[in-house]
Amino acid sequence: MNDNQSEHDALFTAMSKLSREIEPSYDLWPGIAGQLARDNKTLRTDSRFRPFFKWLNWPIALPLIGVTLGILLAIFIVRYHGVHSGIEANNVALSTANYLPVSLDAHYQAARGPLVKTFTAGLATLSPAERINVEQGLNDIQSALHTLNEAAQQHPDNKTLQHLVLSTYQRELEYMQNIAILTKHLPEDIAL
Amino acid sequence: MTIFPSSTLLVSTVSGGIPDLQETSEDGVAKESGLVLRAQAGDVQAFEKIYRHHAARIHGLCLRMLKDVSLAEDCVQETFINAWRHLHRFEARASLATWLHRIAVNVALSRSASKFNIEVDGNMESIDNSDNRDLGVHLDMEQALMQLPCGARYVLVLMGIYGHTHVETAEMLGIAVGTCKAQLHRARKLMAQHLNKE
Repeated sequence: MNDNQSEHDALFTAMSKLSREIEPSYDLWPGIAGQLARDNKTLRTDSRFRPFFKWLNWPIALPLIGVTLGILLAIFIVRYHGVHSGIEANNVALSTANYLPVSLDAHYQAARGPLVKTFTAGLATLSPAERINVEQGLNDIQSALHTLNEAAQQHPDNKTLQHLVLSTYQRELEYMQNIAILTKHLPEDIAL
Repeated sequence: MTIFPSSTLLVSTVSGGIPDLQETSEDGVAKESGLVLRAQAGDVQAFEKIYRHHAARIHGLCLRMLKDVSLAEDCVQETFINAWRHLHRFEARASLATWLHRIAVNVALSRSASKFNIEVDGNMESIDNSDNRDLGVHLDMEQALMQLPCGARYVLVLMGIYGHTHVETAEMLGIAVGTCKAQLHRARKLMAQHLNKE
């Protein structure tokens, strides 16, 4: 190592010792919370989204949603099998984070509650055929969740599997949010 | 040239004891994943906890990029508002800290484009004369850093202080990896010059 490199390394070491955190001079959260509240209110009442939905063709959109979910499920299954076959090898290298109790805890269920309510309300406005399609999509995700949860319980040390469980929970939320937005039944009782 | 108000910098360099997210325990990661899920479901209180955990780090990044206290605070607010709006796009397998950094860098870049080369008055003489040698070194480093041109400073802040790789840094700044390496080389040279002067 020449002198130049040595100096550069010393500089980088010194830089890494600088504090990464600098507290703001005052609490910025109230300003953020105020904006989030305004966003939420606007999202409920604003007509900005209407032009898009006006052009949305339900008979086309629902099969597309179904196909997307099918692809997602296929990806989950393929990944699960890949993970399952390599579990022994992964157990050596991966750490032991356990997300399951967190994602299923009471706080999460409480946060999910209003969304389920609005999703169900939105679902009620659809025609029987559309409702079957949407329910089928949700069933696919939940069935994937069930399978992944079982696998994660059998292999609690497998981090990849736990990431998949979390991603699938996110897909479920996203799916319900999309349906709630598409049916214009947005959450109204989210506490801000 | 003085950039940080003395009180702000004093707190940041002396305390600095908040756990590093990159080094957070497995339990901490799991807890944060749970908070993200709750926030994605619309729980603002969960999002506030995420804010409380990351705000100081995002503020540090914005302050070093923008060199202005009030702009940096605006940048932090905008970062978390954007994060809330796009939280559904966040993937569980990604690092929340890195994702927030990306948003913060985008916001800071857009703000620095509209306001250039800002200097804010402050009073650091009392700290410079401090007996605390480490604190003095930190201040010298911060002052030298603030004298760098924007491109070089951004790269050095993201890589040297926040530990991002060349690829991550280049992606965040929207530049080629080669450019990032060149900027780092330039930053190192200039830092050495500034520190030797002092």
